[in-house]
Amino acid sequence: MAKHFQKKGRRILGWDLQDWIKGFFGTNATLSIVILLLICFYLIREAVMFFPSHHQGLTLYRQTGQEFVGHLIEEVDEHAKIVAMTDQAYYRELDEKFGNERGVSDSYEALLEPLEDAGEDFIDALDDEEEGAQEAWDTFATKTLSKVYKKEIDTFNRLDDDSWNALLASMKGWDPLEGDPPAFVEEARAKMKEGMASFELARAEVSAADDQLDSLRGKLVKIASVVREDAKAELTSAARKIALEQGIASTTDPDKKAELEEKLSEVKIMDSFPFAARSTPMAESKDAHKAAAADLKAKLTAGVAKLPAEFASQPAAELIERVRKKTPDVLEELDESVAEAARWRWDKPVGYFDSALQFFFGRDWVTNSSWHDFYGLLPLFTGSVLISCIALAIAVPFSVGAAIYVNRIATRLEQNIIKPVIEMVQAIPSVVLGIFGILVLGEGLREFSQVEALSWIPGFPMQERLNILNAGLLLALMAVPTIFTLCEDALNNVPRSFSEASLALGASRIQTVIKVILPTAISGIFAAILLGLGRVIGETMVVLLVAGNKIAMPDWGAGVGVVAQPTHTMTGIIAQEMGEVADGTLHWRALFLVGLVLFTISLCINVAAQRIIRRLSHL
Amino acid sequence: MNPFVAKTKTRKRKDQASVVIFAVATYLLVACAVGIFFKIASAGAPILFASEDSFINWDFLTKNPETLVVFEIEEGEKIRMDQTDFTEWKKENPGVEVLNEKTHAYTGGGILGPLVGTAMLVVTCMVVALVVGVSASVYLNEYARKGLLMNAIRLAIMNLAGVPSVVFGLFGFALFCLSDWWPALTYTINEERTMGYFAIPLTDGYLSFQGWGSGSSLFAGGLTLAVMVLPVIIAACEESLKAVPKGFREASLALGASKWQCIRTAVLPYATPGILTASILGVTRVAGETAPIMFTAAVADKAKLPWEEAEGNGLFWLSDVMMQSVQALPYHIYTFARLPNTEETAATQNGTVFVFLMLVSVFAGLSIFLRIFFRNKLKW
Repeated sequence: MAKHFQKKGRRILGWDLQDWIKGFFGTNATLSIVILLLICFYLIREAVMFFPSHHQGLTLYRQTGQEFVGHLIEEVDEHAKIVAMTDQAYYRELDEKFGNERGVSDSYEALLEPLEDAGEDFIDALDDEEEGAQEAWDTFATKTLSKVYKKEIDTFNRLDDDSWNALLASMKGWDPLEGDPPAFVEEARAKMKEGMASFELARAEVSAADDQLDSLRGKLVKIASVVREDAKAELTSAARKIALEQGIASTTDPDKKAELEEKLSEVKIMDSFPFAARSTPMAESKDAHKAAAADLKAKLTAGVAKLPAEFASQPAAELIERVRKKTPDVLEELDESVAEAARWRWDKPVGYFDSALQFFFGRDWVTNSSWHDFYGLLPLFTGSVLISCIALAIAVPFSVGAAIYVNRIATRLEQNIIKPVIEMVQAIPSVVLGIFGILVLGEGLREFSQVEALSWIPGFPMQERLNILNAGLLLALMAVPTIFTLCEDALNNVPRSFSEASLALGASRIQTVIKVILPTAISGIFAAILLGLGRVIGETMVVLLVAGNKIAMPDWGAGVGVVAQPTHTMTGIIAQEMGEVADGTLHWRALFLVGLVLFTISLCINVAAQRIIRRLSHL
Repeated sequence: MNPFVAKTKTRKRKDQASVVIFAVATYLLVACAVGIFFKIASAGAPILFASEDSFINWDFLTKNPETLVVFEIEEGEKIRMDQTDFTEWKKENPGVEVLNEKTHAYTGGGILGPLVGTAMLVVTCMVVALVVGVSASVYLNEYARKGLLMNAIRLAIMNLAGVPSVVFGLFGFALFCLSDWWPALTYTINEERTMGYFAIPLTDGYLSFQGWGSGSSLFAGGLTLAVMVLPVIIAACEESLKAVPKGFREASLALGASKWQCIRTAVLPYATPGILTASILGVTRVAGETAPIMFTAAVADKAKLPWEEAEGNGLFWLSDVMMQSVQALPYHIYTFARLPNTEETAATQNGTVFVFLMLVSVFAGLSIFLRIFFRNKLKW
């Protein structure tokens, strides 16, 4: 053994130099392992504490009767979505049929601003019937009207030039004291009103369907909010009492003790908060709720049936079609929600499992609310997954194709250029890609989507600059280097003899690639895609800046057009809200739990990918 | 007629067509990549480079970020000035009427603060990560006995390399910023912290176990980044240690070298290129990250450089520097990315993004170049 021939060095604490060096390396190894274990420990510790407090919050939510009112709120919101779609359709149709008239009406309103604001002095003069006021006003009006740009007034470019000139001409005789719109504008408005009368009627009916429910909701929200405030105050003083009692028990100083006891006597708490009595208004509203829901159902059905069947505008027709499709679903959900609300009782205990499910499958993430804080992961999770799917759907064909090209087809020179260029993409910091998405890609996409010829593509023209598609495209670019490099490795690992055998049998290059090389390398490619997914789903800055940060379930009714909607993600919510929450609060723990979910997902993805790669290396 | 001729032709055509498809996919990617670099460079280069003498806009690189004031003296003529200059200018020209005064936060001045902050974060992080990472991998690869446990540890480290950076940020925030037991050099003891009683008095103050304060600090951020990049560095170092042939070690041991002599002379020199490449790649990654430093180190607004605010001597001075929050380039970009962007702010934004991208690309390019260089040179 080598040790026998070694010179014995000086020993310190029984260790010689070799041992000390080994100890140094060993300590660092242990340190890094400890740190990595600490990550798991800290994440899990903070995250797990979320569940008890969350359960407590949900129990209070039920006891105060807010849960019951929550059903009403949700029902009203669902109805509001239908109203929003109908309104959108209405204005689309209006634009299509009476775009010019609407332009006249809106431009008139817009024109009043420069005239009335800048011409205030002249109007005052007119009002006081000063001498020469009329002339002064006329010159001012003429000057102002000649200076306005159509682009600035008619921002949506609804007007044609003739109507614009006609409008300007009609404004010349406008009397600022009367303030009545000129006849030209009145005509346009009358025409609009007449043409859209039946649609307008149906729209009003749809939108008024929830009047009864809405007023009931408004009433109950007020009551429940007060109950909540009182119960919370009660809980705080109960906690204060316990803290004070503990303080008294632990102090030995008599002065301090007396002081604390005095404080304790000031704290008044009831034996138990009278949830039963306080939540009676909610319990007694069950019948009223049913009646209001039935009313909504009848009116909404009638209103939707009255909506016109033929439209001049294609988007309007599509929207109304969606309204017609969505209404039965909404009504069905309404029935369920009413039944659910009828089952509400203030003293029914909240199950621990249920409260955990509420986190993982809850559809709302609402924080800092005066009503109730909801922590539901589902919209964030959906956003993350949706963006990742889009990113991968774009990145995978390109990067696998590029890997095949570079590995099998390209010349050496091409290889030496393409590989470093794609690797350089990996170096682009995500925040740079994010700002690129805001300034360049977002604007570009929106302009591209507004091209008339492309309006058949679902989701076009885009309403939002920052949306799922934008984020997906950028993340695709981020995933490309990972997938490309690993794919290329996988293709490289296919033994030469395979392709030689295939080529010798007379197969073309492409046949060889598709029939021989790809099937052999498929698990490596799959691992590459998995690691790409891991990179994409954990990416923070791009989604934080570009995804639009709207916490809501995507509207699946839009079909593929869902990619034009904004969303929020798990990584984004942590980055956005972490800086603003106090440590130890429920919100803070919720964010840690989201972090733990992310951690678990990425760990699973990595483990799966590493396994595949390891199995390959044994081949 | 040969009946197979036509068939071969279609086959050939198919073959060529699919080659074209693959080529198009590849070159589209390349075009996207080059396009982004080009777009950012063309927008940002005019801010950084000047056509006059010195050719580089030193003001942009040597001034701290400030609020930008845009105003008009005569109608239509816009003047841009930093807030401090504007205040002085107003004092000097009290009679001039200022029209349309608008302020834009963070987009005046230069980017010295963020540049310095990023550099300090990267240095702190890399010093810690390299010392711990390289020695850990030496231990795992050279000293530790092979076995199930080692494999498990290695696998755990490999898997942690893929954990999202924002999760490391969360962790770093909880561990480094909020824990109240880290030893800190302070002038006064915070007795509310549980460990405050165990403070050790020193000449200038105390070494007190009271944590680093719950705010963000350069040190906390550096350590968070180090933890983030540690798995990457360990994995890469192990790879390059493994690539050194076993014969090297056996030969040196057979000549009577001790274990450490063997590692020092026969292993590390041949693994250095790989470690160097990996650490430069690590620098790229660390410099570009925003999420981990968002809560642990970075602030949007800071008037002075870290060392300008430090007091004390020796270690206390170092501690003062390290316990401050800093500006950082990625966070600076994030800050103004959220503000509404206008014509006035675009110049500074583009310039900052360009400088940042250039810095990171230089390191990335260097690591790619080194890898190719060493791959061709080191063959055994």
